[in-house]
Amino acid sequence: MGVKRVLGLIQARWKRILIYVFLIAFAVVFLLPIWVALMASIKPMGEIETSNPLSPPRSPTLDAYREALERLGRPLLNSLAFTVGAVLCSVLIGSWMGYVFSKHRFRYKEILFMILIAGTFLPYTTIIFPLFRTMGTLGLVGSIPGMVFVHTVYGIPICTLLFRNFYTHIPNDRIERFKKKGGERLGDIQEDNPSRLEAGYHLGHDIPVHLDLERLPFRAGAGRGGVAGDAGDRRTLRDKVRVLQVEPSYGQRNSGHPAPHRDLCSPPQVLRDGGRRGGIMKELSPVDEKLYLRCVLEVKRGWLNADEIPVEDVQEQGTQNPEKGRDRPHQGREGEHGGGRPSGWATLRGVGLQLVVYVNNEYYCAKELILLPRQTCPEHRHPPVGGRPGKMETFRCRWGKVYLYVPGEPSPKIHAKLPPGREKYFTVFHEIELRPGQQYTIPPNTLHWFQAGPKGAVVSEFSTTSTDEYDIFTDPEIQRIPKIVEDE
Amino acid sequence: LERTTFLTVLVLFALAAYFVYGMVAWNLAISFTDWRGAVPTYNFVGLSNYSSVITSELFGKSFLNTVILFSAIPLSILVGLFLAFLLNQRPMGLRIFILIFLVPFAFSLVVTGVVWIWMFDPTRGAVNSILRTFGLGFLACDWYLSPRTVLISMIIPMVWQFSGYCALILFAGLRSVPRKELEEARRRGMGWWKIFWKVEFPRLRIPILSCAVVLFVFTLKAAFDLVWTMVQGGPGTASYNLPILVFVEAYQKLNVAYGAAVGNILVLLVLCIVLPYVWWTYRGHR
Repeated sequence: MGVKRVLGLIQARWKRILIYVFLIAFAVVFLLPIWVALMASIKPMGEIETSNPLSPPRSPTLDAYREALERLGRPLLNSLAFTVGAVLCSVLIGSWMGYVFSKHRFRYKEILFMILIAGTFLPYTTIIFPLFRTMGTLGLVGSIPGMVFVHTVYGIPICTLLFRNFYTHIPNDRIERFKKKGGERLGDIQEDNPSRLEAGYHLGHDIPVHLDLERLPFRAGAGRGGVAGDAGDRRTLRDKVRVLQVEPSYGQRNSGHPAPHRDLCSPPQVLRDGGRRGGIMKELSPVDEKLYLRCVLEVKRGWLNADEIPVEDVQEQGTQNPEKGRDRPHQGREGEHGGGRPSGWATLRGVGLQLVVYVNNEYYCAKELILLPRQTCPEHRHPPVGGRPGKMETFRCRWGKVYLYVPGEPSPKIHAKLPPGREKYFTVFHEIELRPGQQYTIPPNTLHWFQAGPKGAVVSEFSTTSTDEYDIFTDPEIQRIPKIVEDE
Repeated sequence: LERTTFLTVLVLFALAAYFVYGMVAWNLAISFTDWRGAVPTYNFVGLSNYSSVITSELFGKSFLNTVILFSAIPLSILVGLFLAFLLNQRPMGLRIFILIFLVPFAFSLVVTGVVWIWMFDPTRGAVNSILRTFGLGFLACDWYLSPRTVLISMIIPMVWQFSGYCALILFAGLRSVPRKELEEARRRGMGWWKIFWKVEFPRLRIPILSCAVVLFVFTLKAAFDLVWTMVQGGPGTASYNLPILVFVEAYQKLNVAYGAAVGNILVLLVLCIVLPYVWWTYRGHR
C-alpha cells in the first residue's frame, strides 16, 4: 500500500521531482571539487595516497594547515595588505566615478565612459612590460604600495562600470530626498510603488483629454459669457478656464530652437524623472500624448514664458458650447485656425496654471498641472459642496520642483516668491517642497497655495471631484474676476 | 559639473586611460623595434616582428588553442541556462541552490587551478575514481598530462567556475518575463518547451550577450591564470595560448619586441569583439 502511494506521488509529480534531481546533481558537482580539496587538506600524507579522494579522513589532522600558515605567513600578509588596499581604493574611486557618470551630465560623457570601460577588457599580460618600466620610473616596483597602485588603476574601469549600473537604478528623487533629509541611510527612503504610479495613468483612449489653460484669476472673466446660458448657477470649469487648442505645429514657432521632434519620439527620456519605467504615457492616444509632451517640454525648456502664452480668442471660446467641447476635445484643432498658430496672446503674470484634465466626474478627478517657472497658484481652499466635505487632493510632482504651502508651523525660510502687491493674501506658510516622485495629500477645506520652482513644474493631481467654481480664494480680487478684466 | 569634481574625474580618467591606452600604445611602439634582452633597444624594424609571429607554428597553435578555450563561453552559458531554467521552477531552497552554484565563481582562478589539478590527477584524482565507480572507466584518462586531453581539462574547470554566474544572470532574466505573457501562453495551450522558446528565450538575448562578454574577459584571464597554474602551457607546448605565448616570449625568453607583437595581435582581436559590444550597450539601443 505504501509503495503504491509513493509510486502514485511520483507519477503525479515526476516533473517536479526531476527538477530536484537535476538541481541536487548539479549542486553535488559544483561542491565536489571543494569537498575533495577540503578532505585532502585534513588527511595525513599517507592516507591521501591510499584512500578514496571522496571519503572523509580516518584520522583527520590539521598539520597541513599549521605548516601552510607557517610558510605562508609573509605571503599571506602581503596578499591581505595589497588586496585590502587595492580593493578599498578601487571601490572608493570606482563608486565615485560611477556616481559622476550616472548622475551628472557633461559633454562627451558617453564617449568618455566607453573609452574608460573598454579598458576593462584589456588582456593585461600584454602590457606588463611597459607597465613594469613605468613603475620602475615611478620607483614603485616590488613594493606593496606599487601593487596597490597598479591594481587600483586597473580596477577603476570595472568598478566604475559596476557602480554606474548600480546608481542608474537608484531613482534620482530618492537621492534628492536623502540629501534633503540628511543623516539617514539611503535604504530608509522608501521607493515609490511603481504599480500604484502606473495605475494612476491607466487611461483609455476614449477619455477626453484636453489641454486647458486655466488662467486662474485675473483675466478669466470674459469666459463667463460662454457659459451664461448654462443651466442655473452651475458654472463649469470653463468659467475660469480658457481652452487652448494646441496645434501639432505649435512648437515650431520657436524656429530658432532645436525641433522638439526628437524628444517627442522618446517619451521615456522626457518622462524619466516622474514616470518611472517610461510607462506614463502608454495608455494615451498618440495625439494626446504629443499634446501633453509638448506642453511639458516647453515648460522644461523655458519656451513657454509667462508673458507669451497663446490663448485662443476669448470670444470664440465663449460662443462654443462647453459640453460639446468636452465631448469632442480635438474639434477646435482642425477648426477655425486652419493649422496656423492660435490667435490671441495673453499674459499670465506668473499667476495661474495650465491643466490637462484626464477625467473629472462625480466620483473622482485626475489632471496634470503644468506650472511655468515661478508661476503661482494663489491661496485657496475647496469648501464642502453639496453635502460633500470638499475636494481632497493628492499632489504628485512629476518634473521640476513645486513649493506647496499648507497650514501649520510657518517654515523659517520660504522658497517661493510672493506675487508683488498680493503678499497680504497669503496666510499659510508651512512649506512642503515636492520633487519628482514626491507627493502630498491636502485634506478637504484646507487653505493651500503653491508655486513652481525656477524651472517650472509638472504636477499630477488626483482628487475627488473637481468643482473649481466653488473654490474660495483668500485674495478677494480673485472672486471679483470681471473687475480685474476691466482694469486691464 | 563642479570644478573640483571635474578636475578629479579628469585626473582619474587620465590615469586610467594612460595605464590602459598609454601602455597599449607603448607596446605597439615596442613591437616595431628589435628589442631583445633586458636592455631596451629602440631600432625600428618595421613589421618584421609581426611577419615572424604570423608565420611561426607556435603562434598558430596558440591561436587555435585560445579559440578552443573560448568554447568554455557557450558551454558555460548552456549549463547556466539549464540551471536558470531549473531555478525558475522555484524549488524549495532556491537561495541555497543559488549560493551553491555561485561558490566556484568566488574562487580565484589560481585556487580553481589547484583544486582541479587535484581532481584530475590520473592516479589519485576524484574524477577518474568517480568514473571508475560508475563503470565509466573507459572515460578515465590522463587529463592534463596528455596533450590530447589537456584543453578539456582546462575547459571543464572554467565551465565549473563560470556557469553559476551565468545561471544567476539568466535566472534574473527569466524572472523579468511578465507574468501576463506566461499566463497568456499557457492559456493558448503552449507546452513548457514552446513557452521557453517563444516567450522566455527572446527575453534572454540581452542577458546572454552580456554574459558572453563578461565571460570573454574571464576566459581571457583564465587562459593565462588557470592554464599557467595547472600546466604552464604544457605538456610541452600543447596548451599554449596567446596570453601564455606573450608571457613566455616577453618575460621568459626576453624576446620583448616579439612578445609585444603577439600581445598587440591579441589586443586587436579583443577589440574586434569588445568594441561593438561596448558601443551597442552604451550607445546603440538608447
